[in-house]
Amino acid sequence: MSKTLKFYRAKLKSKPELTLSIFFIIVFSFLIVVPFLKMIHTTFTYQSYDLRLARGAVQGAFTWFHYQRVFASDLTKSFFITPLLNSIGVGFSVTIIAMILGSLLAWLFVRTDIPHRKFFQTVIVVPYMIPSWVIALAWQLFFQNTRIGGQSGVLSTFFHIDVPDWLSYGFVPIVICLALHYYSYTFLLMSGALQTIDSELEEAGSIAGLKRREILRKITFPLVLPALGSSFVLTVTRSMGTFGTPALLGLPVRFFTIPTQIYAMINARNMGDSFVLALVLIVMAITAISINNKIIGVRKSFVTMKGKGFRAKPMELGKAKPVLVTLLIVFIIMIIVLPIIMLTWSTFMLLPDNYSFSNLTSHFWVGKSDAMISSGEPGIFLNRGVLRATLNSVKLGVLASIVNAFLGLLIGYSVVKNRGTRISKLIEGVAFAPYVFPGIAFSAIYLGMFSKSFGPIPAMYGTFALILLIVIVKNLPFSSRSGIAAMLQVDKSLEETASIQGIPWLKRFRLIILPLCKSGFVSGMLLTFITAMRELSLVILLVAPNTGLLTTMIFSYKTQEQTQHVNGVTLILLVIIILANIIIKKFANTKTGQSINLG
Amino acid sequence: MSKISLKNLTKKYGSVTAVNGINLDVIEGEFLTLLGPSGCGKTTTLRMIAGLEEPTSGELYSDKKVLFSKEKGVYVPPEMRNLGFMFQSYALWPHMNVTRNITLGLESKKIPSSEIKNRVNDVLNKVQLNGYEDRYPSELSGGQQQRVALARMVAAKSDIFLMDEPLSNLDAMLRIDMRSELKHLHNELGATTVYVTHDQVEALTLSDRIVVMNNGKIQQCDTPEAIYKKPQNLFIAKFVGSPPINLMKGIIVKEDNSLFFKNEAIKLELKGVTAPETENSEIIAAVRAEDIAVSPSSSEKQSEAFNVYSVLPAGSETIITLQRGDTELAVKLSGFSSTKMNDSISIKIRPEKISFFNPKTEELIL
Repeated sequence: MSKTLKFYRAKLKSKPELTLSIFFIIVFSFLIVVPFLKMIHTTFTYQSYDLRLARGAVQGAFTWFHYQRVFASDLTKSFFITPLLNSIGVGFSVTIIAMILGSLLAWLFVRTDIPHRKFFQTVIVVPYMIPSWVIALAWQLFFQNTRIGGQSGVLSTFFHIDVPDWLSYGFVPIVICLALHYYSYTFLLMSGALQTIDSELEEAGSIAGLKRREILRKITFPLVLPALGSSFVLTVTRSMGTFGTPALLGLPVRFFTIPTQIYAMINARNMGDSFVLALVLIVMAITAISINNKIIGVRKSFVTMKGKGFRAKPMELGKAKPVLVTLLIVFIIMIIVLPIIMLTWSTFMLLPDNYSFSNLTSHFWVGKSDAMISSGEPGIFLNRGVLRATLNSVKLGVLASIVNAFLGLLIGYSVVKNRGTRISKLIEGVAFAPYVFPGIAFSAIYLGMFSKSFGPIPAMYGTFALILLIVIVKNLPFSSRSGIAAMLQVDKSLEETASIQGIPWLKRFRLIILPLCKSGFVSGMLLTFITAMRELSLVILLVAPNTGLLTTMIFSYKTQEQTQHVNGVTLILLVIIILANIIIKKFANTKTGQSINLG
Repeated sequence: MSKISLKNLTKKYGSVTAVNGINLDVIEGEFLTLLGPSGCGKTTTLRMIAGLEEPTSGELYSDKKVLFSKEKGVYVPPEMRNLGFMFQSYALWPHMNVTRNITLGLESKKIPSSEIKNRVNDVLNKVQLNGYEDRYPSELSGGQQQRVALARMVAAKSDIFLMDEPLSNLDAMLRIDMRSELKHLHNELGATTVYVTHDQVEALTLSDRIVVMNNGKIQQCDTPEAIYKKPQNLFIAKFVGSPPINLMKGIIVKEDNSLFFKNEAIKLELKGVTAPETENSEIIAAVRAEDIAVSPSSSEKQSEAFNVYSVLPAGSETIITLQRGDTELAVKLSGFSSTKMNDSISIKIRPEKISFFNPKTEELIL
C-alpha cells in the first residue's frame, strides 16, 4: 500500500500536467460547478422573496414553485413566453443578417480584387472591438422621439420627421444594432476559412465541368461549412444572451428579452424565477452548440487540413468595383464614422436636442460642477468618478488579460498533455462551461456565494477582487480555447527533449513553451482585455461606488438621462480599447479575433 | 553485462495493447535496433525506456537500478534518468540558436560554464558544424539540423543513447552518409544505443543486435546475420531483406531414398540437409534472391525452365523476376546481366540455403 502511494507521489511530482489538472479540477469545481449547482438549487427552494407570495412557504424548503410560476401560471406569458419569443426573434434575425453581411464582406476581401483591402479590412473589424451597445447609443441619438425618450433625436429635430416608435425602440433597432456588431464575428471566421481554401480545389471543379454555381454549392460551401457553423453558434448564443443593447433600446418600451427579464427579476430580488430563466438560456445555448457539433463535428478537420493554400485567384470585379467600393465606404460611414461623430458632437451640446452652434459647450469635458447642469456632475476630465472608473477598468482589463492568458496556457498545457484521457476532456469541458452562463445570473450567484466568507476565501462583497474573479472565470472559455490551440501548435517533442535533458519544468515552461506560444498568448490577452473592458451585465450587480467601471458608469449615467456624460465616457472607453489594440499589435504580430473560434 | 533491462513491460492504451509483455536486456556498449512496421510498438518501447511514456505494468532497470516499477513504488522521471534521446523531428528549439540548443540542458546539470564551452566546441567539431554556432534551426538544412540534434545529445555525455527514427526525415543520399557517421560515433563514444527504425537496411547496417517486433511482441532478437539468414518466422523472413525473400508453397516427398521439395513448378532435391519430418504435408520454403543461381535453359531441361518476367538492372546488381505457373521468384545477380525478357532459364538452389516454415504456425521448421 505504501509502495503504491510512493509510486503515485513520484509520478505526480514528475508530471506537472497531472498536478495542474488536479489544481484545475479543484478550482473549477469551486468557481464554476458549485455556482451552477447553487443556481439549480435556488430554483428548487423557496427564497425569501417567495415567502409573501406562497402561503406556508418555508425558506429553503424544496418546491416546484418557481418552475410552476415561470412555465405554468398567469405570469408565464409575461415572465417566459414573451421574453423567450423576443429573444428567439432577436437572436435569429440578428444571426441571419450578421451572417449574410459578414460572409459577403469576407468573400469581397478574400476572393476579389477589391482595392485598399488592408485598410478596409482593418476598419471593418472595428465593431468587433467596441461594445455592441455603443451603436445602440448612437441609434438613440438619431432615432429617438419625444414620445418615449423625452429628448428628440437628429431625425425629428433636423428633418422634422416623426420617427415611429418601432424605429426608435424595441425589436427593429435592437436587431439592427446587434447585427452591425455581430457581423464582425462571421467576417473574421469566414475570412479565416476562405483563406485556407486552395483555389485549386475550385479550379479542379471547373475543369471537371461544374458550373460556377455548382462549384459554390458543391465545393466552396461544404469547405466553409464549419466556419459558418461556428459563426452561427457564436452569433445566436451571444445575441440571445446579450444584455446592453436590449436594455438600452428595449426596456424603455417594456420590450423584454430573457437577459433583461432576468435582470428585472434580480433587481426585484426574485432569484428563484430569474435562475429558472437563466437555465432556459443555458439549455438553449447548449442545444445550439451540440446541434452544431452533431452536424459539423466530424467534418471540422478538413478546414485546417492544409494551411497553406494561398493560391487564391482573386475574382475580377470589373464594372462593379466602383459601385462596391462606394457601398463599402457608405457602410463604414454609417456604422462607424457617423456614430462616433454623433457621440462626440453630443458631448459638446448643452441641451441634448438643440443642434445649433450657439448650444455648443465644452462644459461636459472640462466644466466644473454646476448645479444647474446634469445634477452638478463635473466635466469628464475633472470628474473623480470617471477617473476612478477609468483606472478600475484599465486595471481590470490588464490584470484579467494577464491572468487569463496564463491560465489559458496552463489549461491548454494540461489538456493537450493529457489528451485522450477523461481528465483532459473534463477540464476542457468545464473551462468552457461559463460561456453558456448568462452574465447577470452568474454574477447574482457569485454575489450570494462570496458576500460572506466561503471556505478559505474571505468575504469579498463590493471588492474589486470579486469583479476581477468573475471576469476571469467568465473569460475562461475563450482563454482556454486559445491556450489549447496554442499548445497544439507546439510539437510535444520540443518539451520532451528538454525534460530528458534534465531541464526542470518551470524552466521548460519559461524558456521553451512560453516563447513558442507567444503569439497565441498575446492574442488571448488582447481578447480578454477587450471583453473585460466592455463587460456590463456581468459586473453591474457587483460594483460598489469605489469599484465602478467605465461600463457601469455609462449605464448609471444612462439611467439618470445624462446623455452627454454617457456619450463622453463611452468615447473614453472606445479610445482605450482602440489604443490597447494598436499597442498590442505593435508588440506582437497578431490578428484580431484569432481566438474567437468556438471550435 | 546488461545496461538496460525490460521485464515484462506492457503498455495499453484503453483496450489496445501497444506493447505486450516485453523482456529484453540491452548489453552495455552495444548498438541495439528495434525494428518493425509502424504500429508494432517499437517507438512506445523506446519512449517507455526514456520515461516519456508510462508503462501499464512491468519493470524497467538501468545499471541494476529500478527506473520504473509499480510494485516497488518507483517512478524515475525522464529528467532524472540521465539519457540522451534523439527525436525523429530532431526537436530543436526553433527560437534558440545552435549554441543555445546545446547548452540549455547542460546548464541545468550544473556544469561549469568553461566546461560547457569546451563541450560545445568539441561536439560541433565532431558533427562538423563549426561556424554555425549562431544559426537558428530554420536557417539550417535538414541534415544540419539532424547534426545539431546529434551534437546536443552527445554533449550531455550520458552513456545511453535512445534514437527514434532519426534518419527517416533525410533524403536517401544523406541518410547513407549519416549511417556511417552514426556508426563511427558509436564506436568512438561507446554509449549503449537503442535505435528505432522501420527500415530493415538501416537496422542491418548499423546494429550489433536487432530486435524484430510485431504486434507489440518481440519476434526475434539476434545479430543482423542471424536475423537475415535464420529468420525464426515468416513475418521476419518477409520483413527483412530486399528484394523480399522468395516463398514457395509445396510438399516434401520421399523418392528413391531421397527427399524432395516439390510443387507444380519446381522439384528440388534436399541433399545433405536434415529435412523436416513433415512428409506429404503443406510446407513453405523460403530462399533469398542471391541464393538462387541461374543458367540459360538447355533443351533437355526445358520442362523445368522459368520464364523471365522482368529484368531490373541497378548498376551493382540486377534483379530478375522469374515465373512458372503460380510460382514467382526474384533472383539477384551481380553487375549487369545479359538475361533478356521472356528468356527461358533454369535455376539451381543449394539445399542448405533453404528455410522451411510451417504454413499454419508460420514458425521456422528445423
